[in-house]
Amino acid sequence: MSAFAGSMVGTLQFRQFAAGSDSDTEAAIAAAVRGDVAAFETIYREFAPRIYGLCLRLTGQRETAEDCTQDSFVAAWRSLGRFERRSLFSTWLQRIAIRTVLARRRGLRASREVAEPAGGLPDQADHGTMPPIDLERAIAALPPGARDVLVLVGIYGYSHDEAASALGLAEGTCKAQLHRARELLRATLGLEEA
Amino acid sequence: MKDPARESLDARLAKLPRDIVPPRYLWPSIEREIERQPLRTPQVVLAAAASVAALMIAGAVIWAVLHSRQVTSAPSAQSIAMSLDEPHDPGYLAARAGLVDTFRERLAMLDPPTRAKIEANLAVIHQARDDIRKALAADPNSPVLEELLESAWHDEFDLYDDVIRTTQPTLARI
Repeated sequence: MSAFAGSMVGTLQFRQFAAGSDSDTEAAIAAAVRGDVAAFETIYREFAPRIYGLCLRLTGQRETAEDCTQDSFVAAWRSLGRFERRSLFSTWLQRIAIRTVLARRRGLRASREVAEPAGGLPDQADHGTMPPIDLERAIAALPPGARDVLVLVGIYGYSHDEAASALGLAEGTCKAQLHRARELLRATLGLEEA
Repeated sequence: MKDPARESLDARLAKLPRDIVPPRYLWPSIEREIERQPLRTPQVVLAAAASVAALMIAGAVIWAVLHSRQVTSAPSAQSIAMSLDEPHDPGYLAARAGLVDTFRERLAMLDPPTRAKIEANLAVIHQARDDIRKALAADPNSPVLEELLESAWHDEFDLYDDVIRTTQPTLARI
């Protein structure tokens, strides 16, 4: 199946749940906390695109992102009892996904496994506005530490404080990594300093 | 109409979609995993972790040996661009200087033997970085050296970060 066809199948799988309201989600979370697996599937359908998107940007690899998405939801299921309502469920789930990616990367680093070129990233070539090397692929080619911060702050709107906390870094490290990531991206994309 | 080439990097990043639908439906695998999760005892977990760690170390050694022998092809222009030394952008340099200042302040709070050990570790990292730079100057197409330089950069930042984070509770008590 082509990547495009696969993507369409995925889209159709999620479209039927697009109309779900916040209260439906709240009810699904409450039921899942009580051990309702079907309710947890509803949660999966609601949040999988956000978690997969985050994992894909952090890992730069489709298969790894799928594995991390899967592991994140399994870890979330195990931890549902500890979910505190004062944090948004989406935020809570994203933190689990970030931890999952970082834990997996630590394992890969130890085994010195080499990442493959990025695959499965959104195709931006037809927008007509992209530089020769598209932005997604340039992000995927960043060194992991710089990429993590750029993805969280630049794409997902985290503050430095939130990103540093989620990644287990000092805020100063976070800021330095972001500057470095921007500099590398500008160089790769041939952009002038804004 | 706005010239796309002049559009700021931040604006481009902010326009990227946050949600990406997985190319395949992952729920069946998740459900299987959820339903077959046996509770593992701590002893089993520790034994498994030890085995995995041993395998990873063995894998690291094997990879390093094989990689150093096999990698002979020239890296792509992009990989070279991405692994060049630290940027000289003023914003980055200011952030880096701020990080080092914080590190120095926190380092001064530690007892002398710990401080000496950390300083020694930092000196080793700097020495390694300088040696790698020299080696890269002689062999600029070596992906292994580029990776080592990247690794030295990470090690330096990890050291700063460890000191800053581990001294945080000390500050909180003051």
